[in-house]
Amino acid sequence: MFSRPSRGLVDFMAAALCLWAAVYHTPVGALGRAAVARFSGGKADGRSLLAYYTGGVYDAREVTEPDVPTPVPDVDVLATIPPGRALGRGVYAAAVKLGGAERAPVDALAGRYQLALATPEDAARVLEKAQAELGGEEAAVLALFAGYDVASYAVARAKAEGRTPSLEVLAAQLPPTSAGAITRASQALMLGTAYGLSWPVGPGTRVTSPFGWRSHPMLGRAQFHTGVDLSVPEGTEVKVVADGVVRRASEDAVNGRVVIIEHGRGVSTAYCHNSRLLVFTGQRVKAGDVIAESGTTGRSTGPHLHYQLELGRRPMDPFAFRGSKPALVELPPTLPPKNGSGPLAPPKVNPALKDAFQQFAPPEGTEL
Amino acid sequence: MATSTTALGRVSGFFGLFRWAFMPLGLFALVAVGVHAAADLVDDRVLRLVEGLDAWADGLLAQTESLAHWVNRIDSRERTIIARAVALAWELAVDGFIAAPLLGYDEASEPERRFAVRQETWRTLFSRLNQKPTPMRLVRPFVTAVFVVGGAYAVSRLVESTLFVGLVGDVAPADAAQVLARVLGGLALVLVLGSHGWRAVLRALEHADARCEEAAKSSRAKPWLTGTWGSVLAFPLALALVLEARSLLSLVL
Repeated sequence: MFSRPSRGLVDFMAAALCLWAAVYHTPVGALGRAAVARFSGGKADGRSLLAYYTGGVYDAREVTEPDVPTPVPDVDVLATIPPGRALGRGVYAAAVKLGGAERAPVDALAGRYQLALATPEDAARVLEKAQAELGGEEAAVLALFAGYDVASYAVARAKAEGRTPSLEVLAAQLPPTSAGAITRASQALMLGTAYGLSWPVGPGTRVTSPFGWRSHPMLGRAQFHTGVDLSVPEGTEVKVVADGVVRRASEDAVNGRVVIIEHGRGVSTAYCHNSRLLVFTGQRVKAGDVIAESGTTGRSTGPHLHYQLELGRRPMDPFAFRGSKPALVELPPTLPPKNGSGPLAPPKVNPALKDAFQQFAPPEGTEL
Repeated sequence: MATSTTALGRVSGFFGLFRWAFMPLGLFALVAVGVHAAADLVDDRVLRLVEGLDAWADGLLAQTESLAHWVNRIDSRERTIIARAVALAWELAVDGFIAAPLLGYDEASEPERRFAVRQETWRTLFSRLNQKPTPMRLVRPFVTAVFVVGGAYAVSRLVESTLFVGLVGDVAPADAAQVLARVLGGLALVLVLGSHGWRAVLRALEHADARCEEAAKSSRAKPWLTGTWGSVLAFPLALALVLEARSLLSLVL
């Protein structure tokens, strides 16, 4: 049906563009590259086929807790850090590890405003100025890691498409060569959001089981504890730690009555073992709203709230984001015993750990 | 000037010898890029669906003591992996149904066309579509057209952003880099649509028509049910792209 022209330069150029886009930017292209690499004895790149759906934004594999929690002596462990400062801390925690070419855009943007990014407060000031120019918090963070011009270009393209310039939208405007910068920006935003969370219960609440490996009190075997257990009497009001949307409000045999809230920027929190749920799936909630009453439903030995924080769908220790306190805490062992399935010996109580949790004294007679 | 034109003509003629290889591959690649753009749009919705199903299943399992230990077996990371795997499988299936037939694209010289047993033209295809409409004849060209536009737009955006990021700073000031990248990105869009767009849609119609004709001749196959799976899988992805069509407006803004 199709006639064959004798020439082909223009068609070849168009085909080459389509092939370039497909080979390097689609899963089917990745399969083709892997097949060619296998056939020719070469080595395929290690990018997973599923990674083509993330765009490098809020990817769990890229998230790490800040190596060195940046101390803020004036912020109490239970106080909420104001949003600007929280984001400054997140950006600083993500930027402090960078060096060489990766660090260059950070210093360039700070230099643009005659500042140096030496503290979390510096980072907050740089972000404030960049935000005023670019018109968005996420664009400002992208400018810090990808460069001002690149972020400005992405914002202009996003606006031309009539979209809100969130990091996902901005990332879609940039080529794959910017993936590293986008990942660093997403990491900073996740950390900044986590630093800005408040606490679900009032002060004076004891931590009965910290984050990490432990001998499960009911199963009697080693299990990674993906949150912190806060000892509260039944019926205690559980408050959501930041604005968000209820992703799940349901009941099951393990978590009991559970609420999971998505706060955006890859951050979510879960509140388990409640006696009563006060929200429904899909509901929007504001920071401080009472979402449940605590209890001991599901796999639980006594009234407590299991509070869990996830960044990029990876559980993180909520205390890593609570002011200067975590610096004192020696975390529990990060690996189970070699025979994995056997019960763990009772952990030796580390004095620093004990001190750190001292202020969360348990109500008399409360079980784990 | 004349020499230069001749040289260009000779180069173009040389590339013309390989049309049999790069044209089918280019058409397949264009639609594959469009399908991926659509799958990338829906993967978030797939995740919501997986999470809803998981919550429902947990609630169901929790009601029976002996099954309660299965509750919470799938954590949020695994749910994300499942959702992306579903999106990937969906995309690859649509690639198989919609993009793969484009590999059968074939061109014939004028003498070959003149002496062909069956004189197919776009007019004969459209007349059969009009007289004997089947879901496959209607859906395949439509979804292919949507994927072609989505794919061409994705290619154009890649060209533009890659050029901008490559040029800005050391090579050109931001304003100049932006204008240059925008112009070349727009040219890429026109080039891809003009060269490959219409061919992909017509080839999709040709393939759908051939399948339906085969089914009409066969005693067992039913033309109305031919190609149902491909159409059912591709249509929601195409619809997702149509709903995102506002991004195309940026080309004129």
